Amino acid sequence: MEITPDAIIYFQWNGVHLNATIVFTWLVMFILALISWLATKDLKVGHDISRWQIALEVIITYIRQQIKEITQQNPDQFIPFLGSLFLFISISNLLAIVPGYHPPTSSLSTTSALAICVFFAIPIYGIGKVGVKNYLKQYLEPSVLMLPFNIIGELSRTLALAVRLFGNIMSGTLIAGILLIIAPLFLPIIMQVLGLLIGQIQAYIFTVLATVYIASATQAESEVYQKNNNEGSEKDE
Amino acid sequence: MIIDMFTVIAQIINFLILVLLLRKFLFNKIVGIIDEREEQIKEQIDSAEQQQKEAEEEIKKQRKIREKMEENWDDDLAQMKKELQAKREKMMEEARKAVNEEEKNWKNSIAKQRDAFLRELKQSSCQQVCQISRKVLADLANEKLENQLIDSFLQQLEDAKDNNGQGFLLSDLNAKKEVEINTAFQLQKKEKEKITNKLKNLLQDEINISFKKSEDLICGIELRAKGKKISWSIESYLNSLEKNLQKLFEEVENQQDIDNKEEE
Repeated sequence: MEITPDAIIYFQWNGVHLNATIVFTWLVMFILALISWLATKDLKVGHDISRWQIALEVIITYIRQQIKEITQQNPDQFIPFLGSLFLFISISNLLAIVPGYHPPTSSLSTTSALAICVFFAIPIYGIGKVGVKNYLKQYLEPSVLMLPFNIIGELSRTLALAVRLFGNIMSGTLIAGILLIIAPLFLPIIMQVLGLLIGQIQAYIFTVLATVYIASATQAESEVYQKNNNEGSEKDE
Repeated sequence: MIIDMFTVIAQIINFLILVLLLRKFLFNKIVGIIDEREEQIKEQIDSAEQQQKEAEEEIKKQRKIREKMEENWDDDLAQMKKELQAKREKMMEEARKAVNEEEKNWKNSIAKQRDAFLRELKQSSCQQVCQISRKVLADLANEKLENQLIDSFLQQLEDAKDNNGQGFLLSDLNAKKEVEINTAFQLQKKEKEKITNKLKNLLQDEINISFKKSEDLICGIELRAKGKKISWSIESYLNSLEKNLQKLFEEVENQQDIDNKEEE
C-alpha cells in the first residue's frame, strides 16, 4: 500500500517521470475544462438556459458570494484563482469514489504545489492592491522586532495548508484500506461516504483559508495605508 | 521522500494551466453572463417602474375624468328627472282634462237621456192617467172625462171672476174680444155651446170664440187671448210628478257619486 500516488510511476525518461499524481491531475483538469467548455459554449442571458449553465451559475454565484463575504471586496478579481482552487480540490476528492482512482490531493507534492501557489498569490494580490511599499510595511507591524515572526508565520501557514489537505485526504483513503482489513462488509462504505464529506470540507477549508490570507493581505494593507495617511494628515495639522 | 520536487513543479504548472483554462472557459464567461443578466434585470425593473409610474399617472388621469363625469352625471340626472316630472305632470294634466271632458260629456248625455225619459214618462203617464181617469169616471159616475174636465175649467173661470186677484184677466178678455179655446179632444156641439154660454155669461160682451184641437195639451182645456191664458190640464199635476222624479234621480246620482268616491 502506497502512502502517496507519487510512488506509482507509469513512465520514466531521463529523470522526467510520469506518476499517478500528474496523470490523475490531468484527468481532473480535463474533466473540468471539458465541462466548462461544453457548458459555456452556448450561454444565454434570457430564457431556455441549459441545465449545465444553471448548475455552473449556481456554483460560481455561491463561490462569489463566499469570497465577497470574507474579503468584503469585489470578488471578480479573486475568483479565477480561488474558484479554480476550490473546483480542482473538490473534483479531485469527489472522484475518490471511482475505483482505481488516486486523488492527486492525497499526494503531498500536489498539496505543496497548491500551497506554494497560495503563498505567492498572497503578495501578488497584496502588492497589486496597495503597492510594494505598503505591502512590505506589513511585515514590520506592529514593530520591526516582529519581522522574523511574521515571516515564520507566513511560511508555517503555507506548510499547514499543504499538510492539512494532504493529511486529511491521504488518511481518508488509508483508513478505508485499513478498515477493509478489519471489517470488510459495511464499515468501509460508511468510511468512504465520510471520506467524500471530508474531501468536500477540506476543499472548502483550503479555499476559505486561502481567501482569508489574501483578504488579510489586501485589507491589512489598505488599513495600514489608511492609518499612515491619517497619521500623515494629523501631522500636517 | 514524500515530496517529489519534480511532481511539485509539474503540479504548480498544471494548476496554473488549470487556472488559465477555467478563467477562459468558465469564470469570465459565467461571471460575464451573470453580470449581463443582472444588468438586464435592472433595466427591466427600471422599465417596469417607469411603466408603473406612467400607468399610475394614467390611472390618475382616468380617475379625474371619471369623477368629472360622475359630477356631471348627477347634474344630468337631476335635469332629466326635472324634465320627466314636468312631462309627467303635463301628461297627467292632459289626462285629467280628457277625463273631465269625458265625464262632462257622459253627464250631459245622461242628463239628456234623463230629460228625454222624463218627457216620455210625463207624456205616457198623462195619457195613462187620462185613460184611467176616463175609465174611473165612466165607471163611477157614468160621465165622460171631457165633460168633467169642461165643468172643472168653467168652474175655474167662475172662480177667477169671483176672485179679485184674477179679475184683471176677465177685463183683459173683455178688451180683446178674441178668445181661443184649445182642447186635447174634439168638442161636441153641446159642449161648445155650454162653454160659449158660460163665457158670454161671464164676460157679458160680445166676443168671438174659436175652438181648436191641440194634441200638445194631452188632456186638458185652455183659454187663450192675446198672450193671456187660463187652463186646466192634467199636465200641471204631472209637472209636479216630473219634478219629484227629477229630484229622485238627482238623489240617486249623488248617492252614486259618493259611493264611487268611497270606492276610490
